[in-house]
Amino acid sequence: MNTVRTVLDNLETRCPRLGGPVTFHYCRYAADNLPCSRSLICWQNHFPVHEYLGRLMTKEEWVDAFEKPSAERLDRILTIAAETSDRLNHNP
Amino acid sequence: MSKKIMLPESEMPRSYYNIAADLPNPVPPPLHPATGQPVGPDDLAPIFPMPLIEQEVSQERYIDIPEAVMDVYRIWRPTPLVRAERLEKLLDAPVKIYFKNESVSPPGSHKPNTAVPQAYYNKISGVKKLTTETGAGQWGSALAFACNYFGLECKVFMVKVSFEQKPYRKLMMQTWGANCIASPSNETEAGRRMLQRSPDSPGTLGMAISEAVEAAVTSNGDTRYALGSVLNHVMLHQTVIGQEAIKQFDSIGEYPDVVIGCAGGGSNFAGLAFPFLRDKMNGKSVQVIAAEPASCPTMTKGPYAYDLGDTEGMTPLMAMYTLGHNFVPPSIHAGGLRYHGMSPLVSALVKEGLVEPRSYTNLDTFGAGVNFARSEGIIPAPETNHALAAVEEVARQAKAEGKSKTIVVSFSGHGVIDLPSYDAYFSGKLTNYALPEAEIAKALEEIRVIPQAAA
Repeated sequence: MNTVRTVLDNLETRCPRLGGPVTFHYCRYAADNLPCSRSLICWQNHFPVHEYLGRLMTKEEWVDAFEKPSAERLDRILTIAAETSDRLNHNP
Repeated sequence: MSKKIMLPESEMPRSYYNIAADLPNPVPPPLHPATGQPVGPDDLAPIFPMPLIEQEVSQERYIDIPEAVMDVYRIWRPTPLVRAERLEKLLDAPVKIYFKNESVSPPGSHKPNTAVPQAYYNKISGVKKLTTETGAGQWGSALAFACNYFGLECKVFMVKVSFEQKPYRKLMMQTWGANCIASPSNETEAGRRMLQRSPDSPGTLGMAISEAVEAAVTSNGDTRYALGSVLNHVMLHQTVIGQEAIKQFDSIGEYPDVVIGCAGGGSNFAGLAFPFLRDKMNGKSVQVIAAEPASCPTMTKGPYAYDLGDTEGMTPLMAMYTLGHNFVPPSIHAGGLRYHGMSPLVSALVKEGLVEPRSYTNLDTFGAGVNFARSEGIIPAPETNHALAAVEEVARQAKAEGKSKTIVVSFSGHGVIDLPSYDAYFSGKLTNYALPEAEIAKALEEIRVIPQAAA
């Protein structure tokens, strides 16, 4: 069924991170099954994305997706490196 | 007067400019997310080679460029500073526009300015192989190009959705001898976990980073990771751009009133702007603009605001209230846009008021890119279009104020490999989608029955 939801999911915009076109559906799940933290910025001019996602998400999900300061790149790299090293130490 | 202001190879900068030495307020050292303590060389050593770690924390104003790096730079550097007279005529404004053409590098962008020294410093540190992630593919191409010159293996994890959209990027990397694979992949634990959960996953930049870092850390010590944006040493290496530009302006007895670069991770902006900011901090009058992506036609009309002043967090500040199980965040005022993943150095310069950020929509930017292509001939990379949109805005302001201005813009790359983005523009896919009120109501009605986002 071609619901409004599927229409929205199939809309395309240009992702400034990936440098190419992506669908809203991609953005909705781009951060570990939560929306990419840029979703509100990238889609706000296409449709009322904040209200739409607000209705889809729990408050906790919203906070995780949009309100927590996202890790700086170096933090992320260090975290991945530390986790990987830990895993190797426990399962050499 | 010549169209292109060339610089002889003998005049190439011999050192990188480190703006950290001149910042009014030093950027605090990053804290390790696990310990909360300042990140030290031991934390970074499994990821980067020691010379780059030293550059990352250096307070030296100038750092010599090794001769082996200069030797590779000479393949395409110095890059021309070009007067955009046809664009000036098109804009019909009292401005002189110069663009620093970084698209002449073999991979077609500014990225090799740091890829080459990163490959070199890894090589002299005994590293055999570099891993990295790439989204659009510019960085992966540049690192592949650089590794080739220093005999390093190169493995690039490219976000699967981009990998499939941009087959020529993969081929460029392959031609230079690199191994470009779609992420998520079966080559890492992180990738395998993702594929187990979601075999058709289109990938994300976060996953590609995880795979690239994991591949480096789980090696037997001969592999390191390379990053093409954000970090201080990356900004440092890019300063060859601005240093050359200043010499080129010197040679024609001019100096720009406005310096413009596009700011994604900040590296190409930093490359052009930092040497001019050194002059600005020493009393020179120059306006420096960082152009970044937005989606709202004019932020003053936009329904939401994102606080640019707060450079710590990178997500939008959104107040909200609950509405039963679901909730609706209230609309708030316009006031600028914060950008994800910006270089801490660039963020600090914005905070100091030395850099003025401006944001432009996809429609603004591609319109400016097409104007540039039709006047100056070169098809700009979509990222470059942000800077060109800022050029057009400055030109319009100059015309409105009746003031003449000299503008220099970083032409960070060409868009020949990114033509699908132009296709999306020409075919109207980037047009703002005005969802009728009735459709909005219907959409909201539909989703009332959907329990969770992942439904």
